[in-house]
Amino acid sequence: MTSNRFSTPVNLRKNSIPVISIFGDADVRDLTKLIWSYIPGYDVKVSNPQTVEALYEEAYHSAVVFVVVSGEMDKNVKIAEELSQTKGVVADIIAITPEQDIRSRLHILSARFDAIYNLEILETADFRKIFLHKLKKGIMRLNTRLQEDEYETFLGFLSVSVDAFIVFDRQKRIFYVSDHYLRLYPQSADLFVRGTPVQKVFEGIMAEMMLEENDNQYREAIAFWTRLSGEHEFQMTNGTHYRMTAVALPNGQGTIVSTTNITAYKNQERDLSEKQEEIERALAAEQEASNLQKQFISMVSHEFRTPLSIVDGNAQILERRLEEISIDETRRRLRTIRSAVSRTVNMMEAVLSSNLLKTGKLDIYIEDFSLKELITQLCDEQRDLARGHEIIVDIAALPDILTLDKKILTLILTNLLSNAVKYTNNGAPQIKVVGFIDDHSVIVKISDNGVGIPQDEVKKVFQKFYRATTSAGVAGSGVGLSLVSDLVFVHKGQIYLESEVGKGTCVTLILPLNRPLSEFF
Amino acid sequence: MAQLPKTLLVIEDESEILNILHDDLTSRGYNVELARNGQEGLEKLQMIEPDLVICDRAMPVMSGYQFLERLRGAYPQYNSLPFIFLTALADPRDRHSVDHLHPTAYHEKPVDLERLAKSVKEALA
Repeated sequence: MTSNRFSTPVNLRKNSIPVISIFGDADVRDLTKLIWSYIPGYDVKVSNPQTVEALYEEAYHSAVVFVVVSGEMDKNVKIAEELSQTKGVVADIIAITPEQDIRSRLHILSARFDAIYNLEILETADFRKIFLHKLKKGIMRLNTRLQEDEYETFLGFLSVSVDAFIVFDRQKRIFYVSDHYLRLYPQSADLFVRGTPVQKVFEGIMAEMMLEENDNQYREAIAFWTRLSGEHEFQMTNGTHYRMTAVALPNGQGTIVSTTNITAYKNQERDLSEKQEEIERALAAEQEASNLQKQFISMVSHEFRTPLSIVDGNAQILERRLEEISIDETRRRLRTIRSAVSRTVNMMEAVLSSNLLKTGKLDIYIEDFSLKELITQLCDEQRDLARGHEIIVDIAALPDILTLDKKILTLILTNLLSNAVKYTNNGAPQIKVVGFIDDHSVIVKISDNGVGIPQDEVKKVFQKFYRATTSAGVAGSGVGLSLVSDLVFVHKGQIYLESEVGKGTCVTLILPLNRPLSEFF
Repeated sequence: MAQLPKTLLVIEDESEILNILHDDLTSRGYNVELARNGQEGLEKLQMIEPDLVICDRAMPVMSGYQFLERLRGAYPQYNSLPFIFLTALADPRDRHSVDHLHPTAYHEKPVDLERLAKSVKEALA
């Protein structure tokens, strides 16, 4: 019972009791009574519309309309004629006339009545048979029209929907396609007609989307179209995303496939997951920075205490035993103190500028200055601090004036020079500084004959806090080269390190030659 | 009869600090033996019998912590050997992390040489 109510909508059937309309200026009560007597047991209604408007209204639901006309010139002839031409009126329009003259009757009939009867014939058994036949035919036409109305209504619903629909019948052939599909797949428009099998629809769509059998989307699509149930999402070549949903109609009458444009949803989803990733990345970076910061602070604290110990220890010895120790020893201890202070200052510079780097606030500032003079000055400083290191400087090939960031260059060179001095402690420590230019670059090579770095550690020494195993016994924080590589990066340069354990290390610094400031951003 | 000078083993990776400790403690009448990390310290133990150890905490190859752990674990004869830690680590938690190894004293860098000498004297008394 329930399923029947679904297949034949109650609200549409309710108004569909067929009507027999009887219209005339004269009294039609006898005629009405007679018609009633012919239709016991029929689920029909007999109506006597009193006005032309009421007639039109009833005629729409009528299987048969009787119009009583007195003669050719009766205005009801005209009314009946118009009624028969009205769209949607499927009833037979039958003229009832007192006219005896057959020619006059035929004339009236020609005004597009379906039949004309003399009043006297109405009571005959023949008329009853003819009338009932016409009534049955009329009811059938009425039902057909009502179904078409329902279909029209249904199409109306679908056409205002934002989604596209294809309805397949139980043989999986197209029953209905909404216009959207014609826009979606313009080249396959010929396929979107009633009766096309689902297989053909699928092939057309795949061809139009230029999908081939080994394509992932093709495989997903064929799975969907074969089972004709569930969901299927896909993307058009123009980037639009669609979701197809197949829902079975009740009683196995077929399947309705709706297609929704989910581009906005997909974009939101993508944006959201991008945002999410962005946040997670930022958080991870934040945590890493925070961890690094903690390590850094602890390292810095440790590294500051070491040179301070050297300063304080020597000062304490000098204070306690000043009278006993020789001038030479005093001088040596004072030099050691100065060297440790210089180390502290270098470290402070490194810490400060690396903090700047971490917060991204190290601005590059290029200016004209003499790199030659800077290298000479820094090497002199190292000579003061280092004992017995021979520092050979060969920078004649450098131009007098270069355009670079002086502060950054100072930090880089100080670090590289002090490394060379620090890690060279053999019998005849020698540092070589060579500077020259080529077409595009300034090149500075700093080499030493010190402890060297094992091959597998060469790359790691640029990592923060990493110290080569050969650095044992030499104070350091593992910050220097990491800072240098950051600084070189900021200055759009490159740095290379070659080394052999026990033989020494050569660092090659390459910086862009005379680049305008704008190229650094 | 004059007492034999006590032998101190000083383990420190920073050569300048090692020099200072050597100079200062020698001038105070001790026989000072040097090592640059825990590993070297263990090797020294094969050759000398120190009366006291002064040791840095953070060192490459073998740290002061690892050295003391080995000393207390693998050398029963050194179970009560006086042991003075030097450290440049700022976090007090680092200090407490070695409590179970019973160091005799714990000095932060920069080291006050007078205080260190006092610690050594007390430990050897």
